[in-house]
Formats: sequence, C-alpha cells, structure tokens
Amino acid sequence: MLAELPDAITLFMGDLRLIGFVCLGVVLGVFVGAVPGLTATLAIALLLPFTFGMPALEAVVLMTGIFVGGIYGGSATAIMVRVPGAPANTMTMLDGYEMLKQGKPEVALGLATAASVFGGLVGGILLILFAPQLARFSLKFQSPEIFALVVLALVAVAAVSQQSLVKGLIATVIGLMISTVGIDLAGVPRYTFEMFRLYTGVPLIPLVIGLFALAEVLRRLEEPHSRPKQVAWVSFRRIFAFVPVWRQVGWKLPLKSSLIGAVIGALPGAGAAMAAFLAYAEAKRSSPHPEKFGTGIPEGIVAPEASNNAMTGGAFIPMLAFGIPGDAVTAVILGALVIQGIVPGPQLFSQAGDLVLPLMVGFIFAYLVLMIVGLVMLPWFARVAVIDHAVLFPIIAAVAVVAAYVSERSVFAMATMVAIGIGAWLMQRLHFSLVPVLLGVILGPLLERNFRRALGISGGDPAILVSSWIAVILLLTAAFMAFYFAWVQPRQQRRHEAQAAKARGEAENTGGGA
Amino acid sequence: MQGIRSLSILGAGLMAGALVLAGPAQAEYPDPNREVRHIMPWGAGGGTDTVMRGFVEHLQKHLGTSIYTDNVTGGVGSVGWMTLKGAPPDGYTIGTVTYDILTVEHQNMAPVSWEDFEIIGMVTEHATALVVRAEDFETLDDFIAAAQDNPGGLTVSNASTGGVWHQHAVAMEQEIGLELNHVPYESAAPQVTSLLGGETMAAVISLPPVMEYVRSGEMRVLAVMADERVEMVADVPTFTELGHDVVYGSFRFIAAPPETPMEIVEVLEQAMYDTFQDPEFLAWAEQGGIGERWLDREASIAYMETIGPVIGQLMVDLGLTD
Repeated sequence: MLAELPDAITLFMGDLRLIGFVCLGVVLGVFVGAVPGLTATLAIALLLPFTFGMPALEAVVLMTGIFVGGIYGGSATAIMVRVPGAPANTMTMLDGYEMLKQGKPEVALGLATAASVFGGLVGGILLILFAPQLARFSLKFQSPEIFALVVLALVAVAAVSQQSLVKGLIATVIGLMISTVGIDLAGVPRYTFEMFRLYTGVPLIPLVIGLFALAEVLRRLEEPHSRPKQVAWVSFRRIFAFVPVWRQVGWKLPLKSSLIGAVIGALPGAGAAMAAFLAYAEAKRSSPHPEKFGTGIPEGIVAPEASNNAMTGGAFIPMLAFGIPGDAVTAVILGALVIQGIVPGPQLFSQAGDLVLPLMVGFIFAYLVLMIVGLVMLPWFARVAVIDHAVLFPIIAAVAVVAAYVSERSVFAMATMVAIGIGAWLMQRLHFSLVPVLLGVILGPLLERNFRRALGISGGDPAILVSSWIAVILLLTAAFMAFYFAWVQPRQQRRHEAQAAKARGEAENTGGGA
Repeated sequence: MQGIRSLSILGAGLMAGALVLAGPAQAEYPDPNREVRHIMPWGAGGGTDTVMRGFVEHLQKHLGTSIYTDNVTGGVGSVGWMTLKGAPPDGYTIGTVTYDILTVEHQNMAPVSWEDFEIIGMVTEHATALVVRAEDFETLDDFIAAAQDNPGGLTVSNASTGGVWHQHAVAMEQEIGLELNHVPYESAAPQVTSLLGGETMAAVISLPPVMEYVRSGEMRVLAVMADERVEMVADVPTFTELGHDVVYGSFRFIAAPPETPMEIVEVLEQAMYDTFQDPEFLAWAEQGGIGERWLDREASIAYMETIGPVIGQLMVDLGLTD
C-alpha cells in the first residue's frame, strides 16, 4: 500500500478542486463545531444530496474536512465561554476556561489548536501505516472487552473530581440514571411515562447544552455584574504565544494521548468523548502534580484535544475496513460512500490507490489546513473574552435555546434543555461537578448493553467478563487507576500539604524565637 | 443553514398563500415554486436516510418541484410518523414509512398505524437472511443439527430485541422448532463485527451489510426468507425451497398524510412510477444495492394488509405486545 503513496500525494496535490473542497470543509466544520447544537454530523447530512453528483473522492474529502474542523471548533467554545461545542470537548473546558480566567486565552486556544493538529497527524499517520492491522485488532473487542474498556473510562470520574470523590461518583450515577431512560436492550421501555419522544432516551445535544451552557448562564446571574478583567486585545502577533508553553509540556504527553485516541477511534462505537476522558485520566495519573488539573494547566488542554483528534483518524479504520462507523460522523460519511457505490471492506484496501490512499492524504492535508485556519481565527475567538458579560451571557442563553430546538427540531428538546439546565445549576450550587454527569450519560448505555449482552451470550456466567486477556488487562488497569486516584494520590497530597504546613510552622517558630 | 432554509420556505409559503388569495384559479399540483417536505423518521446518514434521501432526489425531477428531506427522529420512528400524521394533507408533505411502523403499532408506542396514511408506493424491499461464518456451517441442515445438539446454546444476533430481525429470527425458530440464544445489538454493523470476531455464531440480517464478506468467502448465506431466490445471491436457496415456511422481509414506502386528496396521491404515484422507469435512478440503485422494488398504491396496500396481521400475531407470540 505504501508504494502507492507518492502517486496518491501527486494525485491529491495536482487537483485544485480537491484542495479547495478540503479547505471549504475545514472552515465549515470549525464554524458548525463552534456553535453548540450544530454538529459536523448535521452539516454533512445537509450536504449529502449535493455530494451525490460529485466524484467520490471529492465528496469524501469535503466531508473529511468538516469532520476535522468540527472536532476542533468545539474546543474554542469550550475555552472561551465554558460551553463545549461537542461532548468530546468537555475535558478541554476544565483547564481551558481556567486559563482564560488567568488572562491567557490566546495560550489556551493555541494549545488546543496545536494539540488538535498534532493528534490529527498522529492519527492520520497511524491510519496510513497500520489500518488493516488495527482493523483486525479491533475485532478482538467484543462485548466483554468493550465492557472492560468502559469500566476503565469511568475511572476518569475520579480523575475529574477535584474536591470530593464521593460527589463525583454521585454525579456519575445521576448521569447513568439519565441514560437508563428509553427502550433498553430487551425492548422494554423504562422511565418513558408513555411519552413516545422518550423512547429513544433523553436527547444528548439538548442535555449537553443544558448541562453546560444554561447552567453557566444561571450561575452568572447570581454573581454581581463586573466588567471582565482587562484582557488584552489579542493581536495577530500573539498567535504563537503557546509555543513556549508547549515546549514545557513536551512531546511525550501529546504522543501518548494521540495513541490512546487513535486506538479508541479504531474500536467501533466508542467515540471521541471516550477518547478525551481516557486521555485526561491518564494525563492526570502520570502527572507529577495531579492536583493542578482543573486549575488551568496546559496538560489539561493538550491531552484531551490530542486524543479526540487522533480519534478521527482511528474512526476511519473500522469504517473503511468493515463498513462499521467509529462514531456518528463516520456513520454519515459511510452512507455517502455507499451511495457512491463504494462498498467498504477488506477489498477496499487492496485497491487502495484509487480512493483510500488519496483520502488518507486528504485527511492529513485537512489537518495542515486546520493549523492555518485555527491560528488565523485564534485572535477572533480570543476577542470573545473582552465582551461584557452582561452582553455575552444573554446571547449564550438565546443561542442555547435555539440550539436545543435546532438539534431535534422540537419544543420537547428545548424543554429538556431547560429542565436539565436548572437541575445542573442546582447541582453546581451544591458543589457537584457536572462533567461526571455527562460521562455517565455517554458511557451508561455502552456499559449496560455490553454487560447484559455478554451475560446473555454466556447464559448468565460472569466468567465471560474475564474470558480474554484484553478484558483482564483493562479491568486490572481500571482497578489500579481507581485505587491510585482514590487512595494513593489523596494521601500523597495530604502528606505534601502537611509537610508544607510543618515547614511553614517551623519557619514561623524560628522567626518568633529570634 | 436549516434556519435560512425554513425562512425561505416560510417566505415561499406566504407568497403562495398570497397568490391563492389574490387569484380565483386554484394552482395545479405540484406548484413548482413550492418545496415538498419529506419527513424522514430515521437519523441522517443511516441506511434508510441514505437510500430514501437518494430516492427523493430522483423523484423531484419527475414530480416537477423540489423535495427536501427533514429528519424528524426519535421514538423508534414514531415521532416522525406522528408528525406526518398531523401534517397538512396538501401534497407538500410526504414521508418515509418503514417496517418498524408495525412494531410501533403493535407495541402501542404511539397512536399511529400504517392505515392512517395514504400509501403512495413501495421503494425497497429486503428479504431477511440467515448468515454464518463460512467455516462454521455449510448448509441450513448443518445449522439446524447444531442447534438441536445444543438447545439454547447457539447464538444468533439481531439489531434490537423486538425489532424486525428479532421477530424474523423467532419466526424461523418456531417454524423449524429450534431453541436459539438471541443476542441483541444496536444495529446491523455491530452484528457483522460480532460475527466476524466470533462472538455470535449467526446473524439474522438483511443482505447489503454482509455482501462484502459473502463475496470474499468469509461468510455464507444459508438461506433467504424470500418467496423466490434473491438475485444478489442467486445460488442461495429460500427457506421455502428447503421445506420451511419462513418468508419475511423489511420494506420502505413513501406515504402522504391522512386525507390527502386522491388527485394529489395519483400525481405522486405517477411520479414514483416514472422514477422507477428512469435509467439514471435504476443505475444509482443498482450501484448502491438498495434493494429497489416498485409496488404501486394498490399493490402496496395489499402487501401491507397481508403482512400486517402476520407480524401482529408474531409479536403476540413473542410476548412483545402490551
């Protein structure tokens, strides 16, 4: 396959239309990604009919551009207004928004851009080098293995619980409970109260908007009006302000996060949010100063952004190899491929020169375009920080309501958003963190379905959950991480604090004695 | 984008309304200046969305006005069908109706039935098939023998409990007299990986998602639940040929809201007929392997009248009704 790579690059670079479609896709993707409620999935679906008449490759690179831009665009909203553009950007919000509050929006945005591009390129290169192997490997992930992986991802709750692990767990359980609404695996409607709109569960996009956008607006209402701190008007000269910070972070963390993301992407159905959760948890676990996560440190932005972008490359693997989409966007792209008469499957790789390789080249090119688009738009995004909150938050409230409506075209979705928003605001007042709620909602169905399915296959014998070495390793890792976050780390932290207090006390004593 | 589009539709609607008020002459249907809304009860990019979006793309040429697809999803399709049921019966709203409406009806999920609608015609029909890994079973008899040796132990995947393929799998089980372990997945795609990865032994599924592996020799279709052999896999016998009365499939129709005037229904039916004569559409359908099948209004209603009660009884047998 690699022998044909130079031809693919020549083919791609020699075609101005292809390059144009990638650029168009990326810009469109960044836009829809940044507006909560609008998603890359929606943008691609709306464009679908127009792609029927286009040559297959052009259609696919356009959609790839939207996919790439869409994943990135959500990070800008997460950092600037503390509303994730998509669930995958939730982790980025934690440290990104804190960094903004410290008056460094350009650094946060720069790091997000660089990490996205880095992660995307790693994912793309892995896609070119190992797609068939990764595809085969992903087949080993059946119900017991996915179950074990979800258990591992739930450990991320411990990683994001700043003050209280117990409250983090309670919030997760609330999320898991919300995820039980709807028709379950056995076809039984649960908590639907005979409302047919609830048969497919609580809609995800209104939930995310309520949880983060509306709750944030309500929280702001309680604060006395203050003009934003004089954040410097970010000029174009500041777009590279992130570079020294990135050097400080080093290359190991983004590389590790990207690998996590690419592998998660290759597993059908896991998705970008899971990639970001796991990378964030691992970054915090391996960090020498885990207590600083959530206070605006660069690692908290780099890890999830590198990971969720690397996921995009990974997500193409099951789609191209088996016709099984790794997430919602690849599902739509798959639909377009089929309409073009391209049947995904192993045979697609044996004639890779025609479509797969140029597509992969287009994918990598899309990330290069994103680097430029991201940096050029960075000062504009950063200027959101200078808008008076009395103007900004009413706008966010209005956008939240409209976005919830648009996501499902229904008043029901709007009402869901408002209800969730009020609930989330109350939880915030009681010092619950909201990210674990989303974690629960996203992971709940995966956890339950794979667990029940595995037991259904084994006839109720729980041994099936540890029947493969992958499942065993994942479960042991989860147990180790849970132990580490819940037991080792808090004790270490307490010891540090005690030592620091003691040192301070001694200093005072000697000071008093003199 | 959608907002702008809705606005322009609203604008067009207002203008059309103004024209009707201004002039005594009733405009001919369809007015080329008015867009037709196509309600799609399934998500954008899914199998049904992709096929039906493509179909109306060709249909609009023959209808003489543009058609846009509007995904109104949720409630196993019932949100979309309730919306179609309540839409103005003026020919400017049509919708896709799929097999699942029978499930919705018999499970009393929402007060909607296929009989509420003015059916225009059928677009696709897929026979359900029994698919296995090629190395495991040679023939349907091998499969039956293995299932009889190990009652309740042979795993067969479907795409949701109580859904179309579960229904057909249970029908097959009962007709042949087997006891199988039904394993539900979220959709056809994970059914395919679970079969490839060896988690399940067989899949009850439609043909398009597995054709790739059937051609490569990794999977084998043991039999199809059709009344005659399916062209895509012409060497595979039907269940009937093998002595088992198991004939099931899934389908997609275009329908109009209740009480749409017959003149309008006829115009739509003619446009659908013309689309099925259009070589461009047929080439596209062939390429995508969509399983196109044309039945006019009358034949479609007869089809539904036959299959409706059968599926209803099946769901009672399955214990899936209220």
